[in-house]
Amino acid sequence: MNKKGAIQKVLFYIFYLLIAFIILSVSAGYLNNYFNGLEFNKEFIAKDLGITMDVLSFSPSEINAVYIQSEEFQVESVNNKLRVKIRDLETSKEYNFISNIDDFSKKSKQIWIKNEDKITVK
Amino acid sequence: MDLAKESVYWVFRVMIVGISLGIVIIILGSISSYSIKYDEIQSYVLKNKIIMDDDCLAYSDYRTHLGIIDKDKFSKVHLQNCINKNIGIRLNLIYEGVSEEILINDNLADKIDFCYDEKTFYCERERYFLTLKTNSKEIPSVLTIDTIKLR
Repeated sequence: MNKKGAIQKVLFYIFYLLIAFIILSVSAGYLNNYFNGLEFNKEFIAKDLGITMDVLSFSPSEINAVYIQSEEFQVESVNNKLRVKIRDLETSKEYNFISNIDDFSKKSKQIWIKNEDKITVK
Repeated sequence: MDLAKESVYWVFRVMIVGISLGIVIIILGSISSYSIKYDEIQSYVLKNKIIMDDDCLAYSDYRTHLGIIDKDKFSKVHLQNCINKNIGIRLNLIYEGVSEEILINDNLADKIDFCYDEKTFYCERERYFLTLKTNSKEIPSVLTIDTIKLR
């Protein structure tokens, strides 16, 4: 094997190692979340919180609600789409709002939802 | 082994890695295919929002009157501002022998006739007997709400 071939082979080994590392880390993280219930928890929070906010949006008078979870979660609304994550580097679960709700972003164990003239989140 | 053979050899190895990666993604996707079925409750919330929200059809003066809808608010433009765009809705209002129909989010709403395809669409129909408030009087009316969304 000449020098060029040897370099190519080393580069491919590095490529293999990178691919293996990415596959293992992503798979391990995902499977871990799946089996300890975090993926389902995210899905549930997205649907439950989304529907709660939709219901609060048509209250005939002012209304407040506190949405509490046992662990911190990230929630954001962009273009009337609610996205929920529990950790920074993971895929989010989504819910499409019925109502028109302003964009927001929040990371906490509890979320304060208030409907005066429109829905606000603190 | 010369460079050309070496390259072909590595191309095959990269292809095998790609196929393996694809299989892992498919397996992960299939085990995570659970979902929470919320279509029914979302449709219920939507229909109630249409008739109870003063941004939609509910009549309001100094307060919102539940069970009374405002004739002036029964327009496509007004309702499109009240409802988000991922659900198709067909509203049919009947009062004093007059029938008015509005489609919201036409791309979905005009497919209500295809609701028999239950694998593709989730559809619901509900009929409400409401009081219709016009400028001069209150009259009985029937509002039929059809909702359609992609599963």
